Amino acid sequence: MVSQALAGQAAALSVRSEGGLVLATVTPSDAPAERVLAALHDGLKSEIVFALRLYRRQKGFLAWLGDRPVVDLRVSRVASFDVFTNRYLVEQDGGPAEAFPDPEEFLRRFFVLSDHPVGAIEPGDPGAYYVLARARLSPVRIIGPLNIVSLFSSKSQITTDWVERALGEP
Amino acid sequence: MVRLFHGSKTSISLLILVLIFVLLIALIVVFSQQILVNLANWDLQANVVVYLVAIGFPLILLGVIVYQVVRLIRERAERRPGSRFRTRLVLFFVLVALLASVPQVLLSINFINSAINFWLEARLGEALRGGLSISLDYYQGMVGNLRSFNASPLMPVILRDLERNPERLWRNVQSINSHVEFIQVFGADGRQLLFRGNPEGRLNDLPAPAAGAGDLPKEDRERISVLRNLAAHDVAGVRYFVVVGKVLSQGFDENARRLTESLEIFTQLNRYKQLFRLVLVVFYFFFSLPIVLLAILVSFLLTEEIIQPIVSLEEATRRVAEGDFSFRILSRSADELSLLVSSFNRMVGELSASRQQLRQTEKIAAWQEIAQRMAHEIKNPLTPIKLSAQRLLRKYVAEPQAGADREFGEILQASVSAIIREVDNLNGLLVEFGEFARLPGPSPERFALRALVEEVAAVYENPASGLAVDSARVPGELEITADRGQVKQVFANLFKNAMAAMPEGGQISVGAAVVQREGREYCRVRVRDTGGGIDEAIRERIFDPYFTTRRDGTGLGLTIVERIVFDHHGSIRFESQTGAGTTFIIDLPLEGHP
Repeated sequence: MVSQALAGQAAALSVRSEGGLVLATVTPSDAPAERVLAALHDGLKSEIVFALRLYRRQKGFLAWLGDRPVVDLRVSRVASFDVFTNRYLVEQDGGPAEAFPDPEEFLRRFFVLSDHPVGAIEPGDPGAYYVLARARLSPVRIIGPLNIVSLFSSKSQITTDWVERALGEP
Repeated sequence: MVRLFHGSKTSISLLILVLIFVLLIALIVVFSQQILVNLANWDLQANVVVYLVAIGFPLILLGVIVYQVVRLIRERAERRPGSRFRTRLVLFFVLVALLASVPQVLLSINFINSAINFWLEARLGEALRGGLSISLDYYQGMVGNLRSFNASPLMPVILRDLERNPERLWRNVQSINSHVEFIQVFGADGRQLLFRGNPEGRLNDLPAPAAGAGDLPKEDRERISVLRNLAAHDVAGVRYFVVVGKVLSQGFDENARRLTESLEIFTQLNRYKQLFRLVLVVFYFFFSLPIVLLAILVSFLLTEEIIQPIVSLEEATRRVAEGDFSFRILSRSADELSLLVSSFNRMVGELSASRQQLRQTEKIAAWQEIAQRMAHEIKNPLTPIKLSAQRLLRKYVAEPQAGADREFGEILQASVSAIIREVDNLNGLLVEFGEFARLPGPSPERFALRALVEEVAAVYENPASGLAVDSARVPGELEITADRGQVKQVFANLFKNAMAAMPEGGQISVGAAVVQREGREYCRVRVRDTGGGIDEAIRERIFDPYFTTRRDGTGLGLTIVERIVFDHHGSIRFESQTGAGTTFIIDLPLEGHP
């Protein structure tokens, strides 16, 4: 499911609209699962931040000004390992932790942002909207002020390229 | 010529640098307190901005410093005044800045190393891991205890009291295993048959079959955690599902969380300590280098600020030595250098006045000598001429018959009379020459100026000829210390001059006021006439002795005025406009000469 390659630069993105709400699924490819699991078993935490942007294409002379951003949101997930219960925990945006005894299940939950609501669109022309997404993984979430090392360490963070997908696009 | 040494450009530059310095300090505080903590969460673009600021700002400062250094080297090569002194001052300031910062850098780096080593002391890691291990053992002990108790063969025996005596069942559980805080029994159909103990542990339903028997997942609530174990027991052919458990207090969870977090920090520090140490040093220089560069830049501007008055003084001294006494330096500050500049200006002013006075004295002395010789040379033959003419005239008058020709007698009489008259005029002229030559030094006394002006005006004012003197602008209470007689002569000569300039009548206005000049108080007197003014061509010569435009003038009136004014350590100048009149402006020391 998840590759053990050290660094991935791409992400798969699929978007769909349901009742005027845009849902996005982001799956980073070649995510370094082993590094994440090793870090968690060392008592550290991992973090993945998904950045999602919903745009509406501009027409006519307004196109010259660029497309209109509708929504810009971030989803942050922090993973840890509970040594007391031998379960993997995933917290999303500071919410309650979900526990996963099975590492595969945990990795799937941690790495894949599935059908996440991005924002509402106006009815009529869903094809005018598109979503940009990317993921930034910190196999070891470095706490402040130690996190300044991330400025000088290219391995501390893995960021995928921005992926674009229009609504209705397969 | 006036040179302003405290250039406003330097002050503005210093002000800008101070502002940058304050801004830098504010940035450091903000950066270290807020941004740094969340730096890793920034976008790449934000990091690029950080890199640009981190590299660009010191580079700009470095560029400005290099420019200043090149400028200083060029000034030294051109041997500009003050360049060597400025180099020494800059080096001195830089040395002071380095002396202050180098120990601080060493101390800080040493402190960082010590702090990291202290944080990462091996015993601390062992203690944290030991603490976690103890907690884990405690937790596993609890879980194992519940598991073994629930799986023990005693449980079916205990369950026999389920229907007959539930209270005894609970008492038995407590007496056998005091760690069990609650027991919950479900029937095979999932219906709850019994619950005893801590109500926090109660389950609403029998866990789904998927959960299976064994340890149930720890339930984390807001303040507590609940450990449970589920086991199936058959008693007399009936299947029961028994849940036993323990409620962990908030303290356990909280302490366990703190312990794991501390261990996480410790592990991170241990993993990244080399890089972190390097990054801290880099960041230290990122913050301290611009400050050191700013200090060096400030030293350049400060030296300019210090050196400028010295350079100005050097230039002024050179100009004065070359004979330019008009050179002055202006200072806006109020420090010792300003006092030095002020003293220098006063000294040059006094030097200039002394030179002018000396020149004037020499000029007058020369003319006095000429006058004396003239008087002597002219007077000697005049007496016998006069005596002879008088004798001729007396003879002719006493014995008119001696003259054969009556017409001759008339001519002789007229001619000899003219000789006597002209000789008298010449004699009067010589008397005035003599007075000029013997003009005594002033005998100062204190007197009211206005009374003196009015006294002189009374002599020359003549309403019949249309000449009026207005002395209303001389304050009545204004008193000066000077030779009263000589000052009176000054006004008399000026009034005579004005009258000559206004043959058809006019007005002479006299005004006076106290003014400050080079740190001293002067009485400034203005005497203005409404005459035709002084021709442009002769303005340079009006104070020269014996220079006059009048046929009957001696050319000594204004010379005597100037001489008296200089003898009183004052100054005289005039402003004249052809057709509008002339104003003589006299400055006399209010309290006499020093």
